[in-house]
Formats: sequence, C-alpha cells, structure tokens
Amino acid sequence: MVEGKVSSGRIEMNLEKTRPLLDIREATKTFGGFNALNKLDVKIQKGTIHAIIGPNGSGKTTLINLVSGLLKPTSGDFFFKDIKLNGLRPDRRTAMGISRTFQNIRIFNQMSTLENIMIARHCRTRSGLLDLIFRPPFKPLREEVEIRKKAEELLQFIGIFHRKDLKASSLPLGEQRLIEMAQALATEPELLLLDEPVTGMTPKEKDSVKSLIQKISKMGITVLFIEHDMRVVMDISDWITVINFGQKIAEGKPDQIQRDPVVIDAYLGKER
Amino acid sequence: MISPFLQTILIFGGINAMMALSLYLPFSGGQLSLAQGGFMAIGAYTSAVLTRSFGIPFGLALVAGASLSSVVGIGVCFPALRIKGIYLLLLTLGFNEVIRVFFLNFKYTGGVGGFGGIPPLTNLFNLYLVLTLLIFFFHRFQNSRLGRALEAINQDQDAAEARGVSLTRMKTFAFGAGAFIAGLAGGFYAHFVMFIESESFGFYRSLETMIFVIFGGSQVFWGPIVGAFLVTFIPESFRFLQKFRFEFFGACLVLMMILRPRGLLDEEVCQWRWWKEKFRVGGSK
Repeated sequence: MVEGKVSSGRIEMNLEKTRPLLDIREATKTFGGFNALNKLDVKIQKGTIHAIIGPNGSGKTTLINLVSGLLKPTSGDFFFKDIKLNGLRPDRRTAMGISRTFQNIRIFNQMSTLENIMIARHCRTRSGLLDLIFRPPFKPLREEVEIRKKAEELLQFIGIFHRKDLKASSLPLGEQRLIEMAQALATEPELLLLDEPVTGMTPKEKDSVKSLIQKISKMGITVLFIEHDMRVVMDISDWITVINFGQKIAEGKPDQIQRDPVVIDAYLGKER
Repeated sequence: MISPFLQTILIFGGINAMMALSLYLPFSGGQLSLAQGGFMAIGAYTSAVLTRSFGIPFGLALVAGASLSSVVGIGVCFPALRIKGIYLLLLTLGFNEVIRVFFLNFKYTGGVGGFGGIPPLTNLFNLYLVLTLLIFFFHRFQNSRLGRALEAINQDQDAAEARGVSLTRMKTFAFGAGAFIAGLAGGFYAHFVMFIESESFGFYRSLETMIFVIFGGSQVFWGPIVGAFLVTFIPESFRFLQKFRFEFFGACLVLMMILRPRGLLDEEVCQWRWWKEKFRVGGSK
C-alpha cells in the first residue's frame, strides 16, 4: 500500500507537465448501429500504470483493439508520441513501441514456449533471405543467437524458463498468459496494453503478476491495462479511467475512484 | 548405367518435387494456391523461348523464366492479400485459367499448336543439383526468422501481426518465392519433354501439385518432396495392372486419407522419439 501512495505522488507531477504518451481523442467505434465507444477521450501519461475499468460490454477491449490497430475506428484520432496512428497496420504500431496481449490468449499453440518469444523479436531484427542463404554452414547467424538469448532472458524474467521447450498449448492457462506477456515485452514496447492479465489465475499467480506489472513499470514501460479484479486494479494503478456504454464516466486516482458516487452507481452496484 | 525408363521417372519425380515445394512455401504461411500450374507455364514458355529462339544458356534462361513467374506471382498476390481459404483458392484457380488461355491463344509461342523444338538440356545432374539447393534452402529457412514468421502467420495471423510481423511482406515473399520455384520446375519440364502446350499447365497440374503436398504432409518440407516422389512412382509400380493402375492409385489416396489424414510425414514422425516409441510398442506385442 505504501508503494501505491508513492507512485500516485509521482503521477500528480507528471499529469500537469508532460504531454501524454498516448492521446486518444473522441474515439468512436460503431458495430452495426451499436456504439461500442462514443467520443471517448483518454490520455495515458508516460511511465504510469493506467487502468481502464467498466462493466462488461462497456467498450474496454474495443479501445485496446483500436489502439493496437486490430480494429479501425469509426471516427476519432489516436496519437502516440504525437504521431498519428490512424491507418497504420498493427505490425507498424508494434514496431513503433505499442505492444499488447489478448483477452482470449492468442499465443502460437504449435510452437514451443521459447519459439513463441523468439517470433516476437521479428520487428527488432533484420536478417533476410541473403543472410539465410550465404551463412556459412554449422555456424548460426549472430542475430539468431541474440534472438535466442534475449528470449531466454525474458522467460527467466517472467519466471517460466523451465517451460521453454514445452509446446505452448500444453501449459496451464496462467502460464500461457505469462508467455503472452513475455511476447509483448520481447517487442521492446514503450506502451504495453494488457487485456485482463489476471483472468483465470489463482490468487497466488495474481500476486506474482501484480508485482510483475510493477517491475515492468519500473523498467520505464508505460502500462495500460483492463481488469475486472478490483483488488489488483486498486493496488497497482496510478490512474484509473472508468467507462460505461462507451463513454468515460470518471477518472482519477484509485482512492478517488473508490469514493466516486457515479462509479459506485454504475459499476459497483446501486444499493451502496 | 540407368535405364531410360528409370531416368524419365526420376526426372519427373524431381520436377514434381520442385512443384510440391513451390506450393508448400506459400501454404506454410496459410495461403493455399491453385495457380502453381500457371506459374510453371510462365517459367516453361519463357525459358523455352529464350533457349530456342535466342540461344541463351540454359541456366540463365531458367532463372529468367522463374523470375518472370515470380514477378507475376507477386502481382497476383496483392489482390489476394486480404482473402483466405476457399476464396483464395478460387482466385488462384481463376488466375491459372487466365494463364492457360493466354498461352493457348498467344501466337508467338505457338498458340494451340504448342511450342516445339526445345533443346533437351534437362538432365539428372542439373535437375537434382537445383533440387538439392532448394532442400538446403528450405532446411535453413525452417528455423530462421522468416520461417518462424511464416509459421506464426499460418497459426494466427492477427496475433502474428500484433507481434510485429508484416503480413503484406511475408505473404508477398512466400507467394513470389513459390512462383519462382514453380517457374524453375517449368523450365526443367520444358527442356525435358521438348514440346510444351498450354493444356499441360491447366487445372489438373495445379491439383496434382496439391495432391503431392497433402499426400506427403504439409507440416515439414520433407513431406511434399516425399509425396511428390511417391505419387510419381506409385502409378508406375502398378503398371502391371495396365489400364486399371490409376484405380489402384486412387484407392491408395483414399486409404492414405483415412490412415494419415495429415499426410505421410508430420512433425512427430520426423522426431527420433516417435520412432523409438513405435519400435518399443511393436516389440512388446
């Protein structure tokens, strides 16, 4: 809890002075007449752990899909470090430093855990066809060795190094989520988007992911995450945005949000 | 040393193996193509015209034919980038017909009469040299950065894109390189049979190529090669059945699909462990 207070202090300073790392302006997404997002403005400050909460179907995942480029917005602008993201394909955004995980885990099931991480080094490496053809025999490419080393380091960091040669599909759900986080980190992001990172985990696993997210944040990576588990959200986030029916209904520090009557109304239940 | 009959079969086996590899490359990235016959035609006609009418050396003509085929392949790939599965199959099938009918009506290369008088330059040595180089390439490609990216696209293309793999680049590359290999196979084919006509590169050729890959297995690159050789050899080995030999070949295909629906070779079979376990189970019985 003490740590939470310290990081909220850091935030107050940041919010006033710096420009946001990610600036979402009037994001709107319509699915056949249904407004999943309606003119949503969110600013994500550099170096923060930013949580987005809201009831089911409020548009949280849609927001992440718009930022990562999986979906195209109906209208609205997205700026990352003052560069407009609209129209860029997902792989370009990954190369720019936006990386994500999926709510329904999407790792490559037929590959080993290590290969899953190695694939994510794709956009940070160069070697092409010619390197492949003209490499001397029995001597792997230097870049290939680096990819492997980096991937192993990440697996160690995330704590599943002992699983590196197992097929990804054979691991339990919690560890599959960790693989996906390691994948996202392997692309060297500046902004990490986590879509429900602790869903389906045991309390013990949740705690380790919580401290993992804090460690990632200390590395200088900005984290934007969606989560339903209020304990996790309140413990680690510096700033919380609450959305409902595709619109922002509140934002603030965890203790403000906990006290906000609008939020309690919409999200935690009316009778309080 | 080698009987002409065996030599013919080995050469067709090699050409078919090349065709199978040309389909395997885009297929390992999730793109199933029925246009390989068309790419083969481009390679065959281009290299044949170059050697016969312009006296250009065989090797150069082969590369020129394959390159042209690859350029056309990349051209086809762009409209095909966003479609998958059965729709891509139809698009490529349509393209194959476009190529076939083009050569059927193109007077310069003989039109309906076909294109003859091609010098017989293909032999076991140069064909198998190129096939070996291709195998060497696929072996390296498999565990490389690009090979992994293609496999990732095959498994989940949205996730691959989210991990920074450019779908446009990888798919264009796979399709273009596949067309290049098909063009090479076409060049070897033309300089072996010495007479080509557009009918030999129609739908049936593409379908046959797909049979090689499905028969042999599409998970590892050895699958299509083994498939191509078997599908070339099996009908020949049933020759004593005379006119009924294709019946038996058909039955073989049906059996195969029942026994090993994912093809003869898959990743498991290629691991030493699988054979050890097989052997142990067999021994304990």
